[in-house]
Amino acid sequence: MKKRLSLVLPVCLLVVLSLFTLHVGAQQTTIRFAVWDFSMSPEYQLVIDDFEAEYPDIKVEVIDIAAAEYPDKMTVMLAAGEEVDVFAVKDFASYSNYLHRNYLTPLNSYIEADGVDLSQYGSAIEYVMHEGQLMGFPYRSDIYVLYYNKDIFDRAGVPYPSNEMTWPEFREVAKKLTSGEGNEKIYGAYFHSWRSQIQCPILLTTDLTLVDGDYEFLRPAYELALAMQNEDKSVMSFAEIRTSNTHYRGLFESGRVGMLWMGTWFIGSLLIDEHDVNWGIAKSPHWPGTNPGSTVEGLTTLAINSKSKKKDAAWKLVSYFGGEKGAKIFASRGVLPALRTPEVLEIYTSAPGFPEGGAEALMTAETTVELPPSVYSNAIDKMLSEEHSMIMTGQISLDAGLKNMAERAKEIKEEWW
Amino acid sequence: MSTHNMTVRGALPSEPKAIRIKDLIKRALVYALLVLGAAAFIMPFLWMLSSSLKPGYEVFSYPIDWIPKNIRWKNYVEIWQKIDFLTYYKNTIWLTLVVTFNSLVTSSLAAYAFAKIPFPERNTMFLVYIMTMAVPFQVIMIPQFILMKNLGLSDSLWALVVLQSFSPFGVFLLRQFFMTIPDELCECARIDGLSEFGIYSRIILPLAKPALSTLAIFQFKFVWNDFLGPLIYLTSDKNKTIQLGIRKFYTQYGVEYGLIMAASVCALIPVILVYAAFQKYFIQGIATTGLKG
Amino acid sequence: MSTANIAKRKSRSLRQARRLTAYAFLLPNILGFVTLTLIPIVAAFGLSFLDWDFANPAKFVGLRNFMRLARDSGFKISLKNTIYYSAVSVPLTIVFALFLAALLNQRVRGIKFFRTIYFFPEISSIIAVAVVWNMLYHPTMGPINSFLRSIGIDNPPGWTASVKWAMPAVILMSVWKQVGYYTVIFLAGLQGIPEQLYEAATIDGANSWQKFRYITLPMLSPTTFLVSILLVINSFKVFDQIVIMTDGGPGRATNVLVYYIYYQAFLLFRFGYASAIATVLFALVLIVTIVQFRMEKKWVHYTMM
Repeated sequence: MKKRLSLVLPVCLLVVLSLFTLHVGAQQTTIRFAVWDFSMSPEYQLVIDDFEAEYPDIKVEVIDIAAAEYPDKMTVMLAAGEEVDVFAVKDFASYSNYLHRNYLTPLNSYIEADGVDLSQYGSAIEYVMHEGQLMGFPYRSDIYVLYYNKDIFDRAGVPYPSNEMTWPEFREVAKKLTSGEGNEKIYGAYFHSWRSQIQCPILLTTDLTLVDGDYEFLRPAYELALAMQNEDKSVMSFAEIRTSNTHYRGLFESGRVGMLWMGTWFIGSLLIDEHDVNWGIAKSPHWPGTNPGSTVEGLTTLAINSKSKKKDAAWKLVSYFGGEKGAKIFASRGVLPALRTPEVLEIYTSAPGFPEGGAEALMTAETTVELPPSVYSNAIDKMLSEEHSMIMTGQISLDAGLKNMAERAKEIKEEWW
Repeated sequence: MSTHNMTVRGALPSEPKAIRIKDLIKRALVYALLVLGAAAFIMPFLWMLSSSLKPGYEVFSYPIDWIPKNIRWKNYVEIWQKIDFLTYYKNTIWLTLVVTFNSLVTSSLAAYAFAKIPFPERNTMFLVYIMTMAVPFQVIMIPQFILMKNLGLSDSLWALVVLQSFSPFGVFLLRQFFMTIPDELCECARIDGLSEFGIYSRIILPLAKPALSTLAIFQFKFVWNDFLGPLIYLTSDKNKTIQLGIRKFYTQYGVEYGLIMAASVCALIPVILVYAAFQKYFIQGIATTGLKG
Repeated sequence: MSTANIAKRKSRSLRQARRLTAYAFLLPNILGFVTLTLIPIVAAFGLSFLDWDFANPAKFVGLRNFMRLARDSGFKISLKNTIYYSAVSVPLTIVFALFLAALLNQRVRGIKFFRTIYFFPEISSIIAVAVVWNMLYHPTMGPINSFLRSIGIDNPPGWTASVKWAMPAVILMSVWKQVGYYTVIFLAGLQGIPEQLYEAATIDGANSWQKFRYITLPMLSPTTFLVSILLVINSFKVFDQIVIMTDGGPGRATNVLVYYIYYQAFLLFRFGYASAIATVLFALVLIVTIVQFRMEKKWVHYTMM
């Protein structure tokens, strides 16, 4: 009897246990959500906590991938059919790659069912539409603004940049702010080594994009940048930035840069980092012929894997992140959400340390994007960066550089076979 | 100290004075070269040390501040708090030890066959082994991942164990060293009735200690610092290794270099210890004893 | 049955037995090697005949991926750069590593410490290495150019910021970084040279150079052979240093084959084309390696005379 009991008991326990897990399994849906920088960006966990509290039947399992490796790791995981329900899309180039490889679920039916008002998400949303269908739901969006160091302006006796500054004016102001030599030198302005720093602001003067293959419109932007670098010496030279591994964040935060054209993500860094720079923001400078407040915008979206078996639950998570509740949490942590209702903006601009009068700088006129989604985006991006480095280091003339860009764009777009 | 060394030292005082002075000059020259070289080779490490004690934005100040203005020990605390460094450390230790041990065993067995047992396909097979090293990981990554996934081995440290335990590099390295051990030694042992496995374990392995320790150091270093393999095969946080953990400090809009360097210094210690431990086999001159009969 | 026949059969069965023993030794390694390395490699070679992005249906394109190579300026530039890198870095590393190994094989006090130090570049973070070298290479304030100016060179090179000098800069840095690794292999090789040979040579009145030339070099030849093959293979696969130091630039000055493979596969999703480039890389290394194996008999001495 004893013996039998000792056998029966574990068996019973096993049955009960398995019933229990079955029971739970039937109720809970687990969504696998791939995103970068998860452990370094606490706001994501906050949104997920709130989400799980509101939807107790859904559990979110995060796949945390470092930002730089995110696209490659996703490529491998998606190619092998690993289970991923929701994934974040970094930029338009990745968006285009996922789109052409059929990893994205069209979202219109969900949007209509939930009655989501897309007009609140800004104009860049059109870039993630395909054949009338929204393919990714925006949850954060950044625009480029002008950061300035008030102390440097005060010391030079120059008034702070207005929201109506043009790029030629920007050059003149930078000249006045520049002082000193060597390691103590104060730079009136700073162009980071990215090609977008020079190539993007001028996009607003043209209907062309950087994938179209005609690059003549870039000439004034390069002439300005080269003059500032070589004649005025009011910006650190491209070669020096590269060889000294300079990062805009360190240089600005150590008080050596007067003006910096950078995305709104930098506001979050400036609020968190330890530094003693007295900073302000203004609207991005604009090129003559365009409206003040015209600037470049970037969009980060969440997509539902077309192979996901839990699309309904996935949509709940996606719309939570991009919706008002998610937006408020992001805004309160210094991250600019894509949904910019007055209420959300109020939360964003009232963060402790947010510069006075900065809210105005966030109001945009026309916007454009760095690189529109296209099958050629990555190839064009790489090519433009290569030619950019050649022009900025003076290895080739501006004429030759622009000519190379056009020729190589043609080679990239030529029929592959 | 080997007995051999002792006899050389013992012989010194009886030599003429001129030779001793020459010897002294030679020694001074050797030291001068060693110190000069060492200074050039240790610079990046010193930079790591100094950066690991700075806040992120001070790391790239130019010219380099070798001694931080305000020493920030906090970096060494934060790395254990901001990420689950301890888990990553444990995973890496486990993975590295298992892979290093496995590859020592499988490589030395295979190398013995390639070096000491003549069989018809030997050279062709050996060439195939070596040539697989010439295929960049970037192109086999996806086919290999799909294969492993079908074997049920994705997101698991075991995936890396089975992938890295059979290194063609190890086979090549050991084969070259086994080749230098005279065949007559094996022949004699065979005549004495020793089995092939006996020759491998009782003659070849003891004679090849410098080569085995070289392989141990290299495998340890490789697995410990490997990034691409873990990136592809490990997904959940509980499985990640140190190198993946450190990458968390490279965020989209800024890189925490102070923390990265603190973590890298912590990650470096075991590699240095292993190197220091194994390199002692480089000076015992094992291969010379017992040979040449 | 004649005795000759018996002997023949005996030797054949002996050969069979030998083969069996050999495979028994190889088995643990081969099992893992064939299934997990060789099969994916063969699959990758197969991909080179396809147009495939791993998502949309694959298309068989025959040799067209290979024919496309001939018209691809990016491929030609990266091939040329790879050969440049390989041709300069391999001999430099061998000579430097040999010298260091000889130096570190001295029986002087503290040698263990020095041996550890010389391995440091190999284990230090690649970022730290890049930062320190970038500092050395700094065109205006770097110590290298300061030195060059002080000896009267008015226009010193722009190093990583110049098309002409970026590759030499990367090579110099790579040689310095990897030399410790190959030094360790040489050091292990040096332990296998019997002391008696040197003693005998000393008695015969040989000087240090003669001992190095006629004992060390020939006795070390199996190691040199190993090192030279490893170096060729690794130099054709150079990637990390390039990404960190120059990211292939300026322009395409330091764009190498694996960098280009990565770009085609992971940025443009042309996995078939990337595999075709890898196949070419493989063929090149294969040719060099076979030549090295052919020459092996001429200069590699496996056992002492």
